[in-house]
Amino acid sequence: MDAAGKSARSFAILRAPLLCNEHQSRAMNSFGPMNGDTILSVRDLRKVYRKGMFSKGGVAAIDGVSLDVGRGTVFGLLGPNGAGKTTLIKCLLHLVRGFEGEAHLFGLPPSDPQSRLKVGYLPEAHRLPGHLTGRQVLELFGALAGSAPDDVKKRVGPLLERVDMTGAADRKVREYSKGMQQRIGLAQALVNDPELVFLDEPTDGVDPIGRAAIREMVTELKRRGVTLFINSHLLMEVEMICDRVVIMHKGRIIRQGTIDELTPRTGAVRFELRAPPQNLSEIASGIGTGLRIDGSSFSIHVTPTELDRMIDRLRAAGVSIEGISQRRATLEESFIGLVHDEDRDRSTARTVPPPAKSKEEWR
Amino acid sequence: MNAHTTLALVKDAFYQVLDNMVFRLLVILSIVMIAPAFLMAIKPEGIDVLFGTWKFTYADLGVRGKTLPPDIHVHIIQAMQAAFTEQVAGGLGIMICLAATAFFVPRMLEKGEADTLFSKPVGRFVLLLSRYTTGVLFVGVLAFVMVIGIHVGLLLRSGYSDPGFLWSALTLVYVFALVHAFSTVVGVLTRSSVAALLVAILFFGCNACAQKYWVVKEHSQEKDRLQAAAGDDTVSNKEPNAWVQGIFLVWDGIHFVLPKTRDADVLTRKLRLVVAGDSSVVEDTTGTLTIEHDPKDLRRAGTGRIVDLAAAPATWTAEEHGDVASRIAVTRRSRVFERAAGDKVRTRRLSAGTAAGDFMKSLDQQPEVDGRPTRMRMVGDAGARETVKWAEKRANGVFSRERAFLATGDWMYEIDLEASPAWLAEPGHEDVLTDFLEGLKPQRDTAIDLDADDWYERRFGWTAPLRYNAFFSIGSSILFAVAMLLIARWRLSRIDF
Repeated sequence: MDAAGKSARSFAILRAPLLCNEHQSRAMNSFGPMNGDTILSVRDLRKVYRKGMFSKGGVAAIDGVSLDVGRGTVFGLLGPNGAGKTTLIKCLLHLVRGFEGEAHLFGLPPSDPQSRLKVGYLPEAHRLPGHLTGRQVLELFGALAGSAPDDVKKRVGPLLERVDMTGAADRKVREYSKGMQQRIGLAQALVNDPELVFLDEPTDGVDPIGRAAIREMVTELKRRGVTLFINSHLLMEVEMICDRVVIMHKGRIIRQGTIDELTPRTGAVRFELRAPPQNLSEIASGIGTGLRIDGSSFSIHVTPTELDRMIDRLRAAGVSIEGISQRRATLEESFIGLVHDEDRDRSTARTVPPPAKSKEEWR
Repeated sequence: MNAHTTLALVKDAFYQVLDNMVFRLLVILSIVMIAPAFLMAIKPEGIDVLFGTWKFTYADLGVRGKTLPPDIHVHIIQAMQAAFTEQVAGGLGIMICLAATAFFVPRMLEKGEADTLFSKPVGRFVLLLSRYTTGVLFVGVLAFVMVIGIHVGLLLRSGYSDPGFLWSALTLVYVFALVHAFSTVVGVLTRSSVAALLVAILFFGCNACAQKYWVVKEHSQEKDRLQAAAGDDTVSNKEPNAWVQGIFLVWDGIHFVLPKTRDADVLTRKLRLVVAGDSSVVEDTTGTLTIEHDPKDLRRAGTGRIVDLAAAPATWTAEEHGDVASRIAVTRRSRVFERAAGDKVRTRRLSAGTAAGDFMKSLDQQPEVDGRPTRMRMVGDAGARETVKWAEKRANGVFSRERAFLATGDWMYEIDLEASPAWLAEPGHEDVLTDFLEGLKPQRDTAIDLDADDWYERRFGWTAPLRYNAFFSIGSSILFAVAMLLIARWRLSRIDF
């Protein structure tokens, strides 16, 4: 089987449980509390951006989104550009107004400033006041969030330490590199000791070490019971951090669930061998399909019975097996597949480009 | 919003302003304006620069003449203060302050910064108001530092204190608050610092022009009305046509709606007067003449500041050995008379020149007049004055005599002066009579007598009719600023960041 064929088959398996009609999609949009009480709730949210001041028509950035997020959840919001992810966050934070439907934070509507009292927000492409130092930024935003100056002062030191900005805390923000600005931005989102944090592209412009540090922070916040709402294009990161994921496309939720629910098994099994035999194709003949050899390991689509037979044959041939694992679809594969299907469903007349070649990811 | 939040916003604005180059320029400008008050001592005898390094008499500076007033240093200081409040701080200063603060609101609304700021549990209008008030507060602090700095400098070095000058700081802040409200609304509508700055400066200039020419229009209309009533044939008595009336109506409307920033100077002077009070020694309210100070070494007969000079003259005398050595008397009479012109009888006014001419003729009949009388015309701040001088033979010598004629409104003032040669020969008496005449201030207040600005200043007052009323001026201007902020609020509430 050639690579394209294998890929197409892999996606056919992936899509099967995920495809749903509009009715099913709407039904799936509503989740009950997942971990404790619900602190974020959205019902039939719809936001249309008007094209002009006097135009009645417009573009629906969000089109009937319903969502509940329970306390302590790390929630990932995925979607291609223009999917409505940022607009959804901005509706909840009252940065975008004039939407239809209901939205509540801590049981309060976004128009009530009290709803944002225990909320932290790191916007995408944010710009912090360049005339302030990092420390002053944290003090300002801490005070704006309603915290007492003494509380803010107590939090600023450890926070700066946590984002590795202590050394640069008294330099003007405009002198910071992009990564430093991102780190101080993250610190400002946490300065009021929030219970809910919205992170819009939190690792944007941050180097791999910084990204690891941010992941560590997120894990720590999760441990403390903080609810996190992460909007990111880095799917690997979302896969590593998030408990639940919502995939949005063209203003609608097309799928949501846990990482496991969104990354189903592909049916392929991967074998790790100590020393690969020369006649591996011969050993595997007649068992399963799609044999793919990759150095000292190989993968093959097998049924449970076939898996037993394959193990027996390898052992009979004196091959030492170091590990066996079931291959799952990556979040990226699921995401691309879903978006691709949604596009195809919406516009059958359009020619949909083939999905990107799947990446070998093993869980 | 609690006190911590307010304080944090003020601190943020403080850092923002300190970080701004224009503000630094403003600080330098303030120091430049305060410094002369500390480095110069302006005294009656001259000006001392840099603690005695240089000393100049007024003659050195080109200020000459027999009639140099004894309080010339006060005039110089007041001229400097007026230049400061009306030109430097009131014009250029407001524009620089706008440049230092116009970016406050647009920068707050820039994408990226707005997301972070408005996601906090603080209302949008509260954040906007905090930016607006911070701008006003900064300019206020700066204005008070400047005005108090200049006041203290003048007090310490020149020994001059005018608490009324402190009002300047308040009126400067008032004007800035009005223009800054406009700058704020432009900032919200355009979300551009450059637009907020340029449009606000343009508005400041155009608004001042609109007001100035409204005053000119009012003055011109009043002047025409008075001239027509006085039978001046060169002025049309007809009402302007409907178009012109319509334009005037719209102009009035614009004037009533716009903030009256130009009134600030007049307000400052009115407020200064409230603090300083009226320093004149005599005020003839019917004819509106004030006498600034008593003549040197002469004693007033009778008391009371408010007098009716038509009923009884104000008189000052100096005696030597029981005889009158010097005497000054001021009286008022009507100068209106009627003259037949063909079939009509027209009302005319006697001019000071004609009165002086008639008086000179009358002197010819008097035997005690020694020599030939002389007549001279003087034009000063008080207007034109005709003076007749002659010598008069008396038992105790030849007295110097003068009679000055001063015409204002329907009234003619006559100031009669006499002095013995012995009294005049005493040191400091040479210019007493001239100084006294210089201290006469006829309150010319008709549109015919005054230019547009002076006429408006006379009309403008706390109890004046609505169009010239100080309370209306302040109230309508504040209403304009409030309307601007409400428009900004309306727009801000509709912005999707």
